[in-house]
Amino acid sequence: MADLDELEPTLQNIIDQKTLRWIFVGGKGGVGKTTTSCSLAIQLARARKSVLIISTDPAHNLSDAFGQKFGKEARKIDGFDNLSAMEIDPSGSMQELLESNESGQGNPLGGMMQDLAFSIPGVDEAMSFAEVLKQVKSMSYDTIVFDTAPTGHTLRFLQFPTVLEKALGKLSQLSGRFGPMLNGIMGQGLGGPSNVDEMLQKMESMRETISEVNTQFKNPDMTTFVCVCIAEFLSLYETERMIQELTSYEIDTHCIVVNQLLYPKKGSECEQCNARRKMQKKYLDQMIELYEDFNVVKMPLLTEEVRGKDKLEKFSEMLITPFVPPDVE
Amino acid sequence: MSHLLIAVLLLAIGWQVTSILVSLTPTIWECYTRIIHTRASADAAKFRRQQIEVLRIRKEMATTSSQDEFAKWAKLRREHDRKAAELEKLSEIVAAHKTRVSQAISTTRWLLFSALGFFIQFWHRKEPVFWLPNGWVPDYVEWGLCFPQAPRGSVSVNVWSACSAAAAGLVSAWLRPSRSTGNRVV
Repeated sequence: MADLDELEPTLQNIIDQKTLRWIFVGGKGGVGKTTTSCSLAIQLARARKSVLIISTDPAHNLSDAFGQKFGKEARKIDGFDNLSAMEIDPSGSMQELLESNESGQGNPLGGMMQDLAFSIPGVDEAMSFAEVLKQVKSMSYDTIVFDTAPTGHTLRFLQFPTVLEKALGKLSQLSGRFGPMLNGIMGQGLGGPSNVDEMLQKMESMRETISEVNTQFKNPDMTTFVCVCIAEFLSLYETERMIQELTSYEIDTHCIVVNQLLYPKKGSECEQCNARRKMQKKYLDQMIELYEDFNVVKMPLLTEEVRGKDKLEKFSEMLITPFVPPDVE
Repeated sequence: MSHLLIAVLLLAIGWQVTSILVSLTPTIWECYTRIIHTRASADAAKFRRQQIEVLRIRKEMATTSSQDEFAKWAKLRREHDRKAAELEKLSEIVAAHKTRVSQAISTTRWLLFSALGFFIQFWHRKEPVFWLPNGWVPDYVEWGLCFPQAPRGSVSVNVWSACSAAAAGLVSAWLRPSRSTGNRVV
């Protein structure tokens, strides 16, 4: 199956593409997204001035991977001087936003936001995501690696900018027409005439952030998506679906990392290992045939958990220098 | 004024007869797109071809094992998704054409029968369609029958067209069930 125009099975191209600013790492749960994104971030840190890794997965694994507690603020990872990490909880930050609004004053803005958050599914996540992006943009990181939540969430996140931009565009258009009237009605009952304006301003600024981020996400020079999967049917199926959806959002993707590949030693008696190897090989061949224009990186299944700086560093080497199985059948 | 009598009656019958045309719009559309070469027929042909194509891919997908030949299956699915999206767009275009055709049919029908009928009613409003023998009906009925502007003692064109329409409607309602049993009407 060794094609001549088969692309290099490494992520070197991502390291070399210096213009990349946003790198998403995504896939089904349990395929090694966090390990892959951490490894990629480690490799990137060697080539860039500063790298930030953000986990949007509610089940935060960054802390586990590096054996260090991370929070909402970006924090340097022990042992690296240009690699930081942060963990955000999409639903949590919205909660805070609402709470801070409520405690501030009895203004209708909070209530309005609350209604909005409940009326459109996923909008709360989108808003907090926008908030995070705003924060991150003001920071001076060369590259930001996203360790995203399992498939469904990821796609929703990436879809948000488009959806929200449309919705907010419509809203601000309407407000141009009905704003004065609304102000008149609400101003009378609530004392302050600036409430509606204030809210619309806030939305408008959010819309600007989102649309800016949106154009960046759609630019293949600035953003790419690394798909992580394992050589199994469902994982492959999800990956294919994800790639199609990403394409429909015009988000570039040209790398696939296949994790947890088994390479049993020659003459191995392990029945399960050999059977599994056979199955994995079948799917791997299918992948190489299907994704001929992708960099398909093959990563072996290790006998130990990839945790801690040293192990991650060692693992990350294999993203760059293709792993050569010792001597397989 | 017997020609007025017959003209109005014919209009009422024509209106009922052409209601068949309206119910046959889908068939007319099919014939129109297959016989006459217009953009609409080209689009319709494309739509039919695409439909067949999508069905073919679906069949092929069903016979391809996604587990054993994932690459082939996934490629088929991509093709299917692409073609299905195109089909969706085409179906919108074709539906628009269809609406235009059915609108044309109903507009023509309206102009030919209803509008012409209104015009005749207006133009000949002062003329009697036929005279009633003197003393056949009471005064107030006479007044009603010549409504609004025909001479007293006659039947006005307006009343006559209302009667014709009602009669044609009744007859067509009576004939209608027989159409489903295959008997020819008109």
